[in-house]
Amino acid sequence: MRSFLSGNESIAYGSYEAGIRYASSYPGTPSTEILETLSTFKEIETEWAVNEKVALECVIGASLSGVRSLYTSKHVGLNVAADPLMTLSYTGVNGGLIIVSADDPNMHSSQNEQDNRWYALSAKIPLFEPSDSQEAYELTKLLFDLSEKFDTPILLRITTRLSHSKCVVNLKGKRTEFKKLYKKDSQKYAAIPAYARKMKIRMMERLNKLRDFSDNFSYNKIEMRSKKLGIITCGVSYNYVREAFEDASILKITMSFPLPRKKIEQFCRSVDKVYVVEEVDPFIGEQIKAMGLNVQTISGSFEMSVERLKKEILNEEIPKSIDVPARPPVLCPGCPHRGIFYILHKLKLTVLGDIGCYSLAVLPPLDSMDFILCMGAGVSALHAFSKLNDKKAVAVIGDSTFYHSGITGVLNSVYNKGTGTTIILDNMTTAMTGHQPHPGTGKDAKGRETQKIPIEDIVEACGVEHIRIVNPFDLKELKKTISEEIERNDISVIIARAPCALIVEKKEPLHVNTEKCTGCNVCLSLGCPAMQKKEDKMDIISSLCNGCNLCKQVCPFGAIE
Amino acid sequence: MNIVICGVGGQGILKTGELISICAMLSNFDVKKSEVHGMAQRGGSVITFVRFSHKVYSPTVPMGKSDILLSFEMLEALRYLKYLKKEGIAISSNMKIKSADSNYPKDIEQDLQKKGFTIVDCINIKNMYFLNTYMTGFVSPLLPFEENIWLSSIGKVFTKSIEENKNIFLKGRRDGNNVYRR
Repeated sequence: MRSFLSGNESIAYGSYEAGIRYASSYPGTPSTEILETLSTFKEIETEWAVNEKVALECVIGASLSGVRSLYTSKHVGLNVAADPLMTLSYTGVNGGLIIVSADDPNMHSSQNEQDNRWYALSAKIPLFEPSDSQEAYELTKLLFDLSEKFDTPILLRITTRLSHSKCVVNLKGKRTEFKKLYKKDSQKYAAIPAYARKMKIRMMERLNKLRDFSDNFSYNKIEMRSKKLGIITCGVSYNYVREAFEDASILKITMSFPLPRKKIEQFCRSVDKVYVVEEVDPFIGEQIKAMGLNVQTISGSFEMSVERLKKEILNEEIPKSIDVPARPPVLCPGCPHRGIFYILHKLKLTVLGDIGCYSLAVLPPLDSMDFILCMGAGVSALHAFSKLNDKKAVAVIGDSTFYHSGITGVLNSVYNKGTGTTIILDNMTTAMTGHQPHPGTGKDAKGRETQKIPIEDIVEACGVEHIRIVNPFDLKELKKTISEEIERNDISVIIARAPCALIVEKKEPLHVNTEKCTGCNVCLSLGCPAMQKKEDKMDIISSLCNGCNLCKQVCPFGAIE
Repeated sequence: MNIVICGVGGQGILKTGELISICAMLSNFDVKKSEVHGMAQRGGSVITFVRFSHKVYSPTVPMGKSDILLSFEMLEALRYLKYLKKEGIAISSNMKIKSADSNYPKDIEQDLQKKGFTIVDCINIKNMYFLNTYMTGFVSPLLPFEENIWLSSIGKVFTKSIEENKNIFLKGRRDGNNVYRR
């Protein structure tokens, strides 16, 4: 069946056909659609876990029970799951287990562009990099067999341009059911030092077998053309190389750890000059240099492209851009986060933020976030920051992020006698990644009803005594609540609760009374895309306005009706 | 054939890319489409690449290689002009959407016309929800797909207002035909 599928969808279809019974993940661009696609298959139990560590541990539990299972996350998500990953390599698997890491070169939607292939090297597990949707589909199916054959988890590394590019894929559409028995074997699965030493020896033997496998693996392929120029490449970069240099000989590496050493040596002998082209770090390039071979690496930072290759190899100029004003993404009209950041900016507080839509409040005019690092960091950092610096500070974290890794920070702060206010922006969904449910929504990944676990109950159970729930569209109440709570010499939590503007019906738009408007620009400091200046007066674009009333509250002249 | 579609998040750019790609697939071409999700969609600048041929490699269109640049907003048309090849065709709606950086270039419409753009007047589209379908209709005479393929692809890609989308597509197609009659 000829279908038009993204890399993410192809991995889901490949997993389905390989007979997986379980998948778990935490949403994160560019990986999210893999689990979303899987959740449409009735044969597969799919879950949004509260975070990636839990997701991987659940996937390991599924494998242990004897079924094939899949973990997916964005690159930084695998950092959270790194603890189980490192020892999973020692124990190996029962049912086949694949870990998909969706890396984000150029940081389209991420805080960094780390190259997760190093995890494969560090954990000593095999690593594969498909170049398009068709290959992602074929490989995914094949890798479950390999996982069981070599008794190892497998890392499937993809990048944004694979995840979110669509190609024509020929799907077989046939699922093969799979189930192994569970048998107690503590020498294999219980990593105590005495057993782990034996596991380590088995793991190193496995690595040697995988080296032989890589040299014979048909997807590691030499395409001989001209002898003058040879390029070793992998993943999506293969396509850029193929297009930029039609005559070049190519060694296309699909299994990039362990590398096919003999094929690489043979390729380097048969061409005059060799480049290694890969996205982000020179992961393959450095390993080849360590083999004593003379190659030049093209990698480092950001995405690969045809233009970049022609610049690096042929010194061709990249066309110049016209200098035009930037158009960064902004909080949506009617976003419940806007009022909070307007007030935080007014109060000139130090704001330790987190990962989510609200990172859009870093830029002017809201300009109200001092710090963003990783999920949960704002809450934990606030604890020590408040102990050691007199500057008034608050932490801001989203609802899904709070369930992911805010809870431990609050608990830690109560235990270690901290102070400071944490504001939890509860918009009742995981908004940035496309509105996935979380433990506060009462729905699961398949849309089924489940128990709702309110944030305030968790915060209270952590020992926080001052908890207030506010309406984020009432600026007066917001200002009063935040001002009071930051004066407290104790820990407090403010929950600002209103649904994301994209999951509720649009309200009636407001308009500007041009007779009253003086063009003072105060309302522009809200950073709402529905407000714009038309000549000397303000104008509300009614197709965009969501009637949230914030501008009405800030207008000093009562000009918004 | 390389097409670059751009505009502001929320204008239906990704749907347009999908529609053109499905037409290409149903017309038996190899197709690739590339875009970016997540952060990029919140009212930010959005670009989608569609490529079709007997065999396509790179999922992105190299700068200076696009046959068609289709923009739904004038500032974005200017931003992504670098993708168009010398003899390429440039089309933009006459919509202006101001950004947080409020220095919107003056006389942008005349500037784009000087640079060879066909500026499509979108004032007559009653509902901006249909801007993308109208613009796709307008560009459709330049693409090698049969009308019935277009219409059946609209049925596949859109989940809402399918008949209305088909009608607006056909209106755009008639208006495009008047400009690009061959």
